[in-house]
Amino acid sequence: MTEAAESEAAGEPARDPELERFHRVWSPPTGIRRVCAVNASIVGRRFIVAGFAFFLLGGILALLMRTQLLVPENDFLTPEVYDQLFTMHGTTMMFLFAVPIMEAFGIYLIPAMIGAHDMSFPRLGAYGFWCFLLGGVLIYSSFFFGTVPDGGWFMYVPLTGLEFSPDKSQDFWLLGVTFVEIASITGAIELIVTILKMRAPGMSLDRMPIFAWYMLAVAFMIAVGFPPLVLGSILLEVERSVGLPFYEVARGGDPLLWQHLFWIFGHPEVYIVFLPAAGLLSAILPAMARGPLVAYHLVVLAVIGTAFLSFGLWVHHMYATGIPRLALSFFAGASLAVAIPSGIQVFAWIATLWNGRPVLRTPLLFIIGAILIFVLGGLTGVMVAMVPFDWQAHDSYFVVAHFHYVLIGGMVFPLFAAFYFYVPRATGRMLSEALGHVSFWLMFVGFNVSFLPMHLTGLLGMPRRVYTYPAAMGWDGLNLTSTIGAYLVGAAVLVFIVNVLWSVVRGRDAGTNPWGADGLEWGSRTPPPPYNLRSIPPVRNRHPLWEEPDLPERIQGGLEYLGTAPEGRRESLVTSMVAAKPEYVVRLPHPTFLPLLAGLATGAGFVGVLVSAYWLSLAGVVALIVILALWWWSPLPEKSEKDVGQGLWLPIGAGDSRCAGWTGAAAFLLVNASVFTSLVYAYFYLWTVSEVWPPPGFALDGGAPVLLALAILALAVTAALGATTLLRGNAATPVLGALAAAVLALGVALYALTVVGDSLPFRPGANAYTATVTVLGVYVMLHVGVALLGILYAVARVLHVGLRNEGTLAVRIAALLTAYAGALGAVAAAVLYFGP
Amino acid sequence: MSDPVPADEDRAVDDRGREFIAHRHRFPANGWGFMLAPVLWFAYFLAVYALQGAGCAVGLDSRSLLGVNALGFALASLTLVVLVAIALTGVWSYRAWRRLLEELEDEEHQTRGHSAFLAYGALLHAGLFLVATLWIGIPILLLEPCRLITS
Repeated sequence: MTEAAESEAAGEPARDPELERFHRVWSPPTGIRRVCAVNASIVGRRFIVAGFAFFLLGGILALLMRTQLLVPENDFLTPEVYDQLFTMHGTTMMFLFAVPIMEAFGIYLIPAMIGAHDMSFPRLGAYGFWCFLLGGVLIYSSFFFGTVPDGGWFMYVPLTGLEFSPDKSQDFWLLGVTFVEIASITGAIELIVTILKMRAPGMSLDRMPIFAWYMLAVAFMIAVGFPPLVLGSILLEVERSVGLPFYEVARGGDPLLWQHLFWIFGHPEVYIVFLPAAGLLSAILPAMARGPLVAYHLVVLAVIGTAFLSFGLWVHHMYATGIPRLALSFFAGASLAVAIPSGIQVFAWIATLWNGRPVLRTPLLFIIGAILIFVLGGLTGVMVAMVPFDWQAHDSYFVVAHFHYVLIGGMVFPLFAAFYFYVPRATGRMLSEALGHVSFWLMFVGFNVSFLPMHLTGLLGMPRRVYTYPAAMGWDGLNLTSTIGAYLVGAAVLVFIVNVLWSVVRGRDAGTNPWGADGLEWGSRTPPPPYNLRSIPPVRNRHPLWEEPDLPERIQGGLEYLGTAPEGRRESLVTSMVAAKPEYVVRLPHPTFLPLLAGLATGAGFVGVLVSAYWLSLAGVVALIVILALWWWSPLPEKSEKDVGQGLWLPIGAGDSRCAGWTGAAAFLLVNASVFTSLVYAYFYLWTVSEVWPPPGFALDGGAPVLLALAILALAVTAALGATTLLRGNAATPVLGALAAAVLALGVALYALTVVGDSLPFRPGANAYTATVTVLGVYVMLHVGVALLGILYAVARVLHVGLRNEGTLAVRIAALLTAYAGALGAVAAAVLYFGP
Repeated sequence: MSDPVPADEDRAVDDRGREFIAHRHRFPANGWGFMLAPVLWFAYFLAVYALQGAGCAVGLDSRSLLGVNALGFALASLTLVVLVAIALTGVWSYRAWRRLLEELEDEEHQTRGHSAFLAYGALLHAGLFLVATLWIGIPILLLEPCRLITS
């Protein structure tokens, strides 16, 4: 081991000037300025702590509810408060705990596991954290204003419409949850690009850590699955605040549209929560079983299979809504099929234990508990996937029991296994095994005492979401038992917290790789430095630390790639998607307040809508645009290539399609396309439930709208031409010409918009048809505006830095945005003029 | 130390760090082949859902084609086409995977290069999504397309 690495390993101040500089470059600021840190290791930990705090809040709400249900006809809580508590419990656990904390583990662990110094977009990760935190605070601030959401975590209309919920309570939910979802989506984009483009050289797809496969699948699921709820929430908020009807029956809307949009998100959501936890389980299990994960290939198949099948399940939450039998059978078939990949994973875990030499430490206890509980939840899942059985159990405590078995077994138990496994990595101190065992048994026994009787309570007829129940229904003893179990679970969580606090003070030193694990995340001494691994090693197999025992020493000694920072810049490697062949060196951002400011500006936008101060929203949007322009305006590298170590020279930065920024833009458009597809789905759905579509007297005529569509198409063609010229010759004149033509086309489009605005044959709020047409038009024009901003930015960038390869990214992304806006216009025109 | 990185797209490295020629890094032994069966299934699922909804909305179920319900016929035909397409993907992937294994064995290298991994994954995906398509498709033969649960 080198002297510098030894001093680093011993936690002493680094004496090697190279290592000192490397530390300095990657270290976050101290004091209050630490809020501007953007390192994934720090942002990930913040996310985990904040998510766990929300878990505690959600748990307290659960205990309050269980206390109310302790005895029949209890008056501990009023019905109104009970409604608020079950709404906030579900909302907190799903939106503020489960999804964020799972993504947080991705942000915290993935760079280290795949051998990157940081995530692909550190500022985006930090921005996501602030959106999450501020969004959570916004939702919980409803308690201070006495307007707590009470429509259930699923927010069904018409209960949550303006007629039955005229106060601001549902607006807190709609705006707060949408704010929080920004964090989920930005996290997903970051994870997709990081996993696909920033793996260590040689870490081809077949050598990727299994957790990375899980997180990659989940990130795509979030990118496609969250937008339907974002759209549904926006439509409901627009209906509530502006009066455009989408769900209101009297004006041609349909409440079931909300249920569709919610559950198109809601069922993948279950797997978005489960898969990362299963990924953690699959990542921890080999270390606990002291042998590799059995059937890696099949587990990868199971992950991707689950990700796809999960999008074919949403209607199984709607079996009782009067949908034709054949349509129900499609979803029943997919619901049964998803049991296959779930079963594959369970058998792979059991086989891994069988094949290895397991050590019964606390993480393994939680893993075994997770498998047992999840299998039981999965079996009742197959039961409720059957339409006839579901009708009997629907909206009863049987369903409550089922999904808590799935979610607590599939997510909470693996999460605690991960806490016991990874807290030593974060703190450098081992947790107490004795307290860990106490915590496990309390949680395992408490959970089953609480939720196993609920199956019976449900089959005996007790409905969900009732604040109390009469005596002599046969539910008294079962509810009493459930409440005792819930308090045992609470005690288990308290023991865990005591364990963590105790370990920070008195825990045994964790050293390097205390569990004898195989992954690169254990390649540094605990707690790892903010850059995870000092140098990035080439990867030759799937278990680098098992196959090359001296690897941590080489990593910590800076002997592999990018182990120094002579230019004083944060850098990592970008590699090809399949074979992980090195492509270039990416320069990563240093600490900045911009993500926090961007979060505050976004918050102003949401709060403005909440309090109907639309000037505040507008100010927030303008501020956000300015902040984003500053954010992207980075200097070009001072040289075109550098020696990254081992005699390998690579370009610094890249402006073409190999670039991480390009992949990020494509991932963003995937999210956006999912929102737009949901909107088109809403249009067609409302058509299928309407008697006459469009309603008499409201049909669109030709003329100006067609001109608008043609102008937008011209934009797409111009953008495509501009991009092609650029790719062929890298010549400035044609590109600038194309950009100028695009600006011209935009002018035409904007002019056409005013023509349409003046000649609309209806009021937008007249009925569901006019409302949907209006939103489609606004959506397209909004994107034309975004494309225009992109073009202006690209022109400014080209004028400033010229058309060097690294400088062309803005042009390429502007062309992409413009082509995308053109495609949206074409699809919208086709739907409106050639559709029903 | 040997460079673990393929010198070009046609070269790959085995688990021991040795290079081999992976000129089969082509469809279906690549990312597109790997994702084909899931994407086919997803498109199929959306198509049958949309076709059933739209067909009922325009009254396609009240027409007949070749003596059977026109909507049911369309849904069943679509299912058959997708089943055949996924099965062909499976056969194609299986052949690519076997060929890769044989060729890699000839080169005396470990057989788990990423091309073989992707071809094998494509085969497994075809198997899973063939079952999923079948389970969704069978009710089309048994149920009337637009009949409500209450009727």
